[in-house]
Amino acid sequence: MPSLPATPGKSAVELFQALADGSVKAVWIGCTNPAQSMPDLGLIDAALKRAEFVVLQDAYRHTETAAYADLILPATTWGEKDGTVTNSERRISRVRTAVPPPGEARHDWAIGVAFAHRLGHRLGREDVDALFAYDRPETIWNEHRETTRGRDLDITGLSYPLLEAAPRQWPCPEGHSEGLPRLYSDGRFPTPSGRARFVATTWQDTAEQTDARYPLQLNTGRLRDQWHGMSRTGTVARLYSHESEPLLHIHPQDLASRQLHDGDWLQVHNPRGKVVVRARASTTVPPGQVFLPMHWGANAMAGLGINALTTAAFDPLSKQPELKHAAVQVEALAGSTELFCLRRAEDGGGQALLQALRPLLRRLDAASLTLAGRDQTVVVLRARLNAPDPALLADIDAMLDLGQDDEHLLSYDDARHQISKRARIENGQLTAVRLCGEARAANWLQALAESGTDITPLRRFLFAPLNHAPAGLSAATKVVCNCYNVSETTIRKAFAAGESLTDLQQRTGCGTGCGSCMPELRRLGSHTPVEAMSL
Amino acid sequence: MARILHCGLRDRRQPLVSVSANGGQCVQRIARAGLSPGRAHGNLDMAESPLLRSTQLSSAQTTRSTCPYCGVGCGVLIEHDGKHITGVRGDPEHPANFGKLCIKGTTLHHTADPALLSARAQYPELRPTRDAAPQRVSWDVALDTAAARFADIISRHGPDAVAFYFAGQLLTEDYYVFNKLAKGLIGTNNFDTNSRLCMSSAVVGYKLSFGMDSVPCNYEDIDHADCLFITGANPAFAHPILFRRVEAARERRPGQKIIVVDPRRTDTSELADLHLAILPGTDVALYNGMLHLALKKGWVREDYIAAHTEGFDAMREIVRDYPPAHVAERCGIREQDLEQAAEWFATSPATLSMYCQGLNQSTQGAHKPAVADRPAQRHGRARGRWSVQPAARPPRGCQP
Repeated sequence: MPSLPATPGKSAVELFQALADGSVKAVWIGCTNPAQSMPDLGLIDAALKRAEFVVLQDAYRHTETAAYADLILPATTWGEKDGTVTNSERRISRVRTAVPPPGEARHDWAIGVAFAHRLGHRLGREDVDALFAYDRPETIWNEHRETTRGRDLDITGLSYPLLEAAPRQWPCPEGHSEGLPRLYSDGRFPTPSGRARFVATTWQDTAEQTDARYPLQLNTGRLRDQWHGMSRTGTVARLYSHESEPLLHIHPQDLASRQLHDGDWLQVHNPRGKVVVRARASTTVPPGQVFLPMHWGANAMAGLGINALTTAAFDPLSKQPELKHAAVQVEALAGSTELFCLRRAEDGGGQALLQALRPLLRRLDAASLTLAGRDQTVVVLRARLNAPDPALLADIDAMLDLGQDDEHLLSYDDARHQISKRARIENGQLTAVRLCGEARAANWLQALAESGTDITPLRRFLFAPLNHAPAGLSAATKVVCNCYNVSETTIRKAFAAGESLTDLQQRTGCGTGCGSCMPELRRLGSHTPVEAMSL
Repeated sequence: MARILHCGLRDRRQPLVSVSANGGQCVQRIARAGLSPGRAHGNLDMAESPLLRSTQLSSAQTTRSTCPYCGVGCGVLIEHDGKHITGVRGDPEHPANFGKLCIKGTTLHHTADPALLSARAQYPELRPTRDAAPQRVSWDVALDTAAARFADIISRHGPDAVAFYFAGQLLTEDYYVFNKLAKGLIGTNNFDTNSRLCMSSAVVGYKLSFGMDSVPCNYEDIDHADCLFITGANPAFAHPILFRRVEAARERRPGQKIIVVDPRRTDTSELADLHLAILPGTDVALYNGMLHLALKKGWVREDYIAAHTEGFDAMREIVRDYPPAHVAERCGIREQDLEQAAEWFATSPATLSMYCQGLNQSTQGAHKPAVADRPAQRHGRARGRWSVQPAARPPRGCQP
């Protein structure tokens, strides 16, 4: 390369600020979903709307960011891609192609090469063909390898053939065949003086502090079974079973002081934005602090997503935003008309149905749209309306196959109490439900739809305002062991009856698969739970 | 029930692996000699074993790859028939996980289910105007349009009028091409990734302390730690395979001490001998307080500090102002817990700190890792600090 630009570029927050103020005019987004994951989503929304040209290169078509794209380029994904990745212990592994991509999706590197050729010619760069003469990932990697010569991540001793045999750590300079497992064992450090440096730092408070108007500290973080913006994990129904919808984790005291209860809809707001979710009473957070899982975006809820609340204030050195500290207030939500809908997905995945229902989220202030089930996918829409809305209900009924009065449809209407319910029964199974005005039966109706149980003997209970299922049925509950589908209810009952963890594992298999549920199993077995958690 | 699978690898030394039903944690190896070189992806031609023959009939193949999710970077074996992915198992030989997978890795094949095809982007699409619906176009039209728009903006407003926002989830090769495109071809450094939201602070922290961005240790060090200091991290949820390792180490070393620093109670903190539920954002005060105590009690290795570090005197001055009573109040913890943490950290033969977004996602994020590391440096265990990157990191040289 003749030269590289001297001016440092814009980091993520700065980049979106520049799009919002118009100084950057075009953005090429690849393999990420900033309209879900960036802080201060109001800024991101303004930025992507103002941009003159937005390209989205992604494997997934319907991410929150896709809604802003002028050009969508389909990319390959895991199982289709070929190349290398590096993990947190500096180990480089091969990523290998198992199956061909769908449709016309192309590899990310190939898209870049093709674009480079065309752009280069338009920019009058005759050297572009030579600069981007890559025919496969290995040639790219070999060039990258050469740039590491003599640097801290020197991998000139590695090659694709070596990596085929086993993953290797860096550094691994030419002449070595194994990477260096541990650094600085000799007490020498790559600083000018060769010494490690103590960084004298005084404590500073977070960029945003609570005050009388916004008295709660908002923290964000991960759920066990979801990944980032959920473009991948959000397509798998069973991965919702550990925490099934967007929930604010809030201490019972903070709920009580606002006359709110576990499961109530509430609004969380600050000057940047508003998020409307249901409450999960929990003592995992102390009074004065609340927690929102980072994953939920506009595809799963009304509004922009949980990052409407987070701050884009960033560390001056690293430019990383302070996603874990914001000040918010929590309040009850006006409106009291409960809406609960579900539809069993006939196509197996529920994706078409999700896409059909997502526009509804833009018409609602308080709503969530999620998947449920395990072998049978069920799409679930929950909402809180200010008042019953016949036009909205008609639209929803049409989408859920509850609009036509045929032999599959059951209806219940109580105009005086503004309650209206619909259900669809096919071959004795509950395949769709729409409850408006009263939804106490939601959980066990959902369990029926998920399991495909024959509901013929239960027909007369379907529209009754029953919190608990008729005898013998269980409600949809949190699944703790995803590998063996073991619910929290089963586990609690077992421990309450004196069963040991070992016996429980023998009997149900829980914890013997991937082991991700072991911490929770131990916790449930070690003390009597005091939290009110079930919804 | 055991299933015999052929690992479709080009290396003829790869053994066949028999895996039992419960998630791949029981592995027996059946050494298999005589696989022909050059047989990629399970083109089975071996008639010796009836079990192999049945596998061959179903065209079952296995491809060795890596999980696309977190930074633990587990090895996976993708089961498929050449067209569709049918299953996934942990790679028993990969040093990150030795055959284990967390729930996300375990369910990877579900994300490749043909029923989910409509979630995928399959064809290029172009919106003729902002308010119009996207229309399918050819790759030629898509790339020409992109090139024309970018060239136009660059010629009118300069190279810095365009930007690229990519991901730590990309492969190194993808990342390299787009960096070269942006910086080498277009001439802009406006290239960033979602790693900015994740581990930039860790990068700067390492550079401040050690002069380079690099995790000094190994996952194996978890097995050898007498004291684990997990701060601003919930590996039980975020990096479960590493947490399995923590659990196993604890089983084997009953004297091991685990300290967890987190304002919340989590599945990780449930394993701790000591959970410091500090008030949000008070990390630096905590670490300064721990150092203050270590200095006071003489738990500091002056010889190592003198031989291998610099800046200690300035730091000693600063932490003078962080006496235990003050720090405990600032952090909202008990003084005796602060002292206990400092003692375990400082006097254990081998201490490993693990940190993540609790430190990184902060306006003091760059300093927090450097500060958290201080106690380790102080005790001659400079290598014992380790940030678990939530995502596989892109290669170096790409920070503007």
